[in-house]
Amino acid sequence: MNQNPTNKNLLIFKICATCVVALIIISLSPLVIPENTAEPFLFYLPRTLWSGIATYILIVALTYLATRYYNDENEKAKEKE
Amino acid sequence: MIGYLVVFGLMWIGALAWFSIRSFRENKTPNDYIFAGSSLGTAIGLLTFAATLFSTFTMMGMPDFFRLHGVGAWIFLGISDVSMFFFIIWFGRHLRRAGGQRGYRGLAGLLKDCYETPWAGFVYFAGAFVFLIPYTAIQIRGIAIFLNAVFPAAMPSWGWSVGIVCIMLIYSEIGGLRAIVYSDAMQAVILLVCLWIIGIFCLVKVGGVEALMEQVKVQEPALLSVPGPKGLFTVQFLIASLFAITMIPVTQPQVATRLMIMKSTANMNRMAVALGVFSFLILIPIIAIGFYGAVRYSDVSTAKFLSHALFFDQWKPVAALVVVGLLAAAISTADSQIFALGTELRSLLRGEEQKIMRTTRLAIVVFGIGALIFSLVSSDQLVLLARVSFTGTALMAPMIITAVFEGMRAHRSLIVMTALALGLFLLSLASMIPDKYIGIRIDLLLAGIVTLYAFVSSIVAGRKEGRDC
Repeated sequence: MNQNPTNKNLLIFKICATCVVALIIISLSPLVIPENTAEPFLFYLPRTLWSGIATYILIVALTYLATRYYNDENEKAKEKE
Repeated sequence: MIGYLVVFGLMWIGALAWFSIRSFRENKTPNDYIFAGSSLGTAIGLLTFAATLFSTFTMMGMPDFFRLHGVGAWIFLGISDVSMFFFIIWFGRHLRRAGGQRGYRGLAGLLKDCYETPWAGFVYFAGAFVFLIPYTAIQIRGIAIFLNAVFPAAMPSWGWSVGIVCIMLIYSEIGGLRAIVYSDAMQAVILLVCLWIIGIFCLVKVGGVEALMEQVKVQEPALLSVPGPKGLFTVQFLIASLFAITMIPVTQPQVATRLMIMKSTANMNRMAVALGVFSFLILIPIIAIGFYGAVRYSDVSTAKFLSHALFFDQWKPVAALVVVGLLAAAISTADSQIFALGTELRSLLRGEEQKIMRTTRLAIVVFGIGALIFSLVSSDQLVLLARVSFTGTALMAPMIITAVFEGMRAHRSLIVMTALALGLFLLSLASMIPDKYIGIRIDLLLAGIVTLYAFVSSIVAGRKEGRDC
């Protein structure tokens, strides 16, 4: 029995992984961590903090999405049984 | 206060004793003792993983990091953590496949099999030992200096350290990993509850989020941006930390073991997502505690800040719960690490199972004593010491990934390369060689070189003598 995710699922996983890598790069760029700049504030939080938190939430959402498509096919079948 | 402490302390000790006895009865085979039956569900997997990951480093070190270095601490730990959780679903699947095929006994044993030489196992075990013992030691030291600051007349800090190691060794030796997993679950919940109570209390004391941020802006505006007042959070530092923390499931045996003993890959995946949520809930109150310290205790020592913010400023029952929570946090991480080192040693041993188990149990005690001795001589820079541990073990990640990942080929020369990188990193820590070359930190440089070499050697090995695990 095929243990690997299907090609379509693997593609979705790879897209998620690419998005996560992109978000991590952004979080290490001046977009999120500009030197010595706290503005603009959002909900009283400085830029690095609110944009860092937003990045975190997006990556968790992508992790959830990736897990929907990156399961072993035979394990899924067993769970259904 | 003492009354609350006695009540909470007895409840905690009682729970640990009950978990040990229950686990002792449930453990029928050596594998039950070492791998807790290898059938963890999502919830228990989440709690034991979280308790192992979030330790004194998180509960004490991170508030201090926010207090001293500011918002960059979120990128340092939050982004690195969530990157690790995503990585778990990818790496975990490959590890479980490779481990399942080879009959997983530990990462050292798996590497030995994949590279078809015991040297792979030896290098991994040596690296894990050298960098995990200090990490374990800072758990013990962190809580010992806190307890000594809070109860200076009770006993010296080494006395607290000895007590902590004794408790940890007793229940680990009796109940094995199953006892550790059960106690981790309880300790993760205590940790989360404590942090939220303290975080809310700190916010209330300073008048809410707006007032807190306004006060930080007035007192030390550099805390609200990177690189922070002391210039710590440079991009290089953050990238090296990201790599080191993301690689924790690959290189730290106590974490890799938890991926292997999940009931299924689906359970492991659900756990990874749940960890993202749990970690978020852990980190949010830490920001409040850290900035509360920046406003109220900006110029005091770490021990004084923590003893006030976590204890003296709190309502008495909460303060008592914090003491138990901190003990729980320290012990839940330290016990897993010590036990994992024992597991790794076992995976390298061959022969009669009873004799191997005796050696493993004895080794766990020896590792515990080693961590205790190191805790008595280490510094108070908890987060930076932890980071050194993560960075050191991360240098072994390419060697493990090459062996475990489907499609990659393990080349023996990578073992030499990894040993060399570990040696150079240790020399830089001992200030015997520079810690920067052409403006790049040595940890980042070594990680880059070993990773690149792993890819190249995998391609070469694919053509010649490659070993597919």
